[in-house]
Amino acid sequence: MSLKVQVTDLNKSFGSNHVLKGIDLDVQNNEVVVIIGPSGSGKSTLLRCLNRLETPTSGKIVIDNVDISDPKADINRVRQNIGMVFQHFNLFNNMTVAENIMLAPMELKGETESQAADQAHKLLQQVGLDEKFDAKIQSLSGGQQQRVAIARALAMNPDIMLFDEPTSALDPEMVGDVLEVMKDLAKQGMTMVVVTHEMGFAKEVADRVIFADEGKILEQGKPNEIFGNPQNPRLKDFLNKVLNV
Amino acid sequence: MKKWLLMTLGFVACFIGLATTFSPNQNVQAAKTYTIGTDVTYPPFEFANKENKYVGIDVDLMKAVAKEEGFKVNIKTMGFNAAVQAMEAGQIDGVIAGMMITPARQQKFDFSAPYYNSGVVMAVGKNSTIKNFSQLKGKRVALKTGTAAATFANSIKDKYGFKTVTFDDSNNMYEDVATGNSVACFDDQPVLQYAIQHGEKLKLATKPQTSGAYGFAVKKGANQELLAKFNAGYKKLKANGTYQKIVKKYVGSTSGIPKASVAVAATTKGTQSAKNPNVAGKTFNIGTDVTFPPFEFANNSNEYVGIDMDLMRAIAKNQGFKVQIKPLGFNAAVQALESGQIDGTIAGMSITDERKQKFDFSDPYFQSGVVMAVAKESSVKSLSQLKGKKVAVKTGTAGADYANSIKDKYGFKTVTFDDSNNMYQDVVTGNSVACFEDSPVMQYGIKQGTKLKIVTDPAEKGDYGFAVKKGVNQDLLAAFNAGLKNLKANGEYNKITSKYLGSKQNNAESAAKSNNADTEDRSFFGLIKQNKGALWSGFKETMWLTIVSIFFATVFGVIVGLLGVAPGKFGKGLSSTLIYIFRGMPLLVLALFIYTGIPSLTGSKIPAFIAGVVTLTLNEGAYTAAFVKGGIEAVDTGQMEAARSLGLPYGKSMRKVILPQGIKIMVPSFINQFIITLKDTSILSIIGLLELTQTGKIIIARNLEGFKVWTIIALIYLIVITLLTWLSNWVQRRMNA
Repeated sequence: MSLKVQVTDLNKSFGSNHVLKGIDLDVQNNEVVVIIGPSGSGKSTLLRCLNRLETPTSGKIVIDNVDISDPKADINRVRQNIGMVFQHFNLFNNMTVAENIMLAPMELKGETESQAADQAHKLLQQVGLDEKFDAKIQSLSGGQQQRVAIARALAMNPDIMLFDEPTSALDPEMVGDVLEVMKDLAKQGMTMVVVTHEMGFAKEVADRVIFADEGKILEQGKPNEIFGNPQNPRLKDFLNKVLNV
Repeated sequence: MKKWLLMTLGFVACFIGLATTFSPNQNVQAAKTYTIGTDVTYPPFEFANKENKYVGIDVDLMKAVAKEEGFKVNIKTMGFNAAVQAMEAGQIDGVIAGMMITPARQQKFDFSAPYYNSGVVMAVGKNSTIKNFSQLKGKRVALKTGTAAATFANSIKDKYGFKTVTFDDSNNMYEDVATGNSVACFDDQPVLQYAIQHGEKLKLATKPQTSGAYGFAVKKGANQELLAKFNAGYKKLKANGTYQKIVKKYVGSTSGIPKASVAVAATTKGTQSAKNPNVAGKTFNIGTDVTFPPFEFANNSNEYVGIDMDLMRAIAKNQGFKVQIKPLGFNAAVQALESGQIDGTIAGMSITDERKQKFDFSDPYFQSGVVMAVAKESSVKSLSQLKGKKVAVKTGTAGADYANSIKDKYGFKTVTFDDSNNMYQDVVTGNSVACFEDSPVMQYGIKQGTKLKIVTDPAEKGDYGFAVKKGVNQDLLAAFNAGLKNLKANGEYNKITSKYLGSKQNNAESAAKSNNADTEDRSFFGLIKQNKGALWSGFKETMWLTIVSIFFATVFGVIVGLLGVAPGKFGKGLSSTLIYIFRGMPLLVLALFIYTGIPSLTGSKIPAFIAGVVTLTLNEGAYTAAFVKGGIEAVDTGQMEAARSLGLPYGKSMRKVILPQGIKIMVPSFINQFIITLKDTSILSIIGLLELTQTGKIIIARNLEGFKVWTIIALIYLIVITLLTWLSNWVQRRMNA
């Protein structure tokens, strides 16, 4: 196993609000890391720092041997290798399903329209939505939108996927389809960092679960250790609340 | 990103290009052209007549002086205050605008000799009982900004306890009194008198309260040679009666002319009064001009020939008397006639009321006027076909004055020549499409082989007459009339004129017919029909201003707006500052600042059109920038994050994802801003642009039909705005489809 992501002493403040307090985190190739923790713990901020949607206040983030915390790093190039899926999907409202997926390959890889369309068909088949190829975004349900968003994130053939609470904005009956797509990705060996409240997903799919609270990683380990034998009192408290609803 | 930059540079280049095209070309011609500012609406001193040509005592005097002194004037009707400010800023060379010479003004300007005596009078509604100032207590009084009358009224208002309300032009002030909003107004006596004569429902309530005089002004210490020329020319015009003629034409009497300088050459007792009623066998001395072809000029053998000469001799022959022709020059001949040195004058002299005071005229023997001539094979037939073309004129001629007076209206440029032949050649070779010349002179030129043809009826018509001193030489006059009648009857008159003018000549008979179409149709549609030329050109100016301004305002606004959302503190700061300044400044102030303020700072002139476009670009552009910024900010931030997370650079994300969504949000604001820009062009009338609103002001100044004309103007704006709204709805529907 080789090192894919290495985060060293990462700090992030929004004004006087110190959100991340010295995070150290390694992600291996093909590893699926699930980050859990209460709201406001800094999980999403940590994830967004990994493709520099948030600029770290201090610390170092190395992805595939590129130091992306260095302002001189070609961040647009690095991002092509990192797919990101948002809580609110963020599909481009001015485009069809296919155009959403085809935009980046055509603009950045110089693919022709037919090449990009072929790939878009494949990706839509992968997420089970090929019949929506020409649909407008507004005509899709939330679950469908999120699956299109995953297809879009995959269009640049990234080798890391970041998921920022991908199911939190969905109606419960939609969650399953999205999680199925994510499980498939994990099986194919995609390196994944997932911020989620889906404990079932974490137990089943994660290679490692990280518990973060108040800007720090308080505990991490294999799913059975975290869920079966939590050590940190705050983790115990958290699991009590989320599992015994 | 590069494309944007290129486009921006392109627009900037366009702008600069446009600016240079419009920049004033100084000293191109040898004959100096002075730009003289005047008021738009100050009859009888300046106003547009039915043909929308600027006339009035000031305008005529200025033109006459220019002609006399051999310079050219470009009269700009910009409104009194704007003219005064433009002169202070050095935008124009002088102001003649019924401006009272006051100590305060003398601090800033150098004035000519006074050319018109005036005084402030109070006028009230026709049925008003107000007769003196004490009756004004607690009432409202209308004034016009910046006039001596306003100063006077303000100086007594505390004493008599009245309130004042201020208007920008006389017509609005009169209307305020006529409608009863105000009980009285103060204005200069000749102006009020003229307005009342022409139908304002007011009456004078007081005698002139202050005495003062109008003067022509230049900026203090500047343009002294122009001032000197004006004084010299004015003196001459007064001496030869031209000025009296001008004044009389407008106010009926010459009592307003200052008597400071000696008016006309002293009259000596007639020495050669005819005692014999029978002219037969007598010899008369007839004065004429030195050279005024085709009326009088020396031929190859140095004999005086021409229409006047041939006609005079033919009549003498017909009536059995003899003539001694004395080519004295026009002015000298007129003066010699007055002093009785000669018996009669025939010198292509127009019959005018002023001259009739001193002379007895024969029946008109020739009608003259300014005509337009074009190359033989040219298809140009009317003035409106001259748009954007070059027209040749000869310095100091009535044709040149006429061409200059209509060139803005018809949108042509003039090029000036010093002699007729060069002017004709310029048209023959096709450099210019047309030229303007007195009809007989032109006809004569064509007769002489110039390859041109006359395509318009004579404008500015005038009848020529033979003159004797008033009350003297009546037998000669009678003989002239009788002879003229005989020559016309036996065809000899036609022979003479066609000898010089070719087959198609004008004679006085045709003049009589055309002079009666004087009554204006004051109905709504009559007004539209009558003023359609002026309204159309005003409308075009408005549309042109609107389109050019919308273009630049949109470019400016989009750039500033994008700067406001782009990362980087400098851009954001610059954007906010620009929006803050130009959105925060009233359009009127901005227009005046740019038109009169900038030239004061930099010393270089800005053409009014450019100043207007810049004003609108900055003001409307600031609003545009604000909603462009707002529109982009209204797009969900997640859209940008998603685009960036795919690895798309900022510019691409903006263009492909954010702008298409932002523009959809902005479209209604854009349409709204276009409509506002169209309406805001009306404010630019303040810097003298002849757009629709200014056109309305000018028409009203002439016919005083405020309600109807403003209704017409309002309807034109509404129609355009309706069309624009339809267009916008269509665009919006298409975008949402």
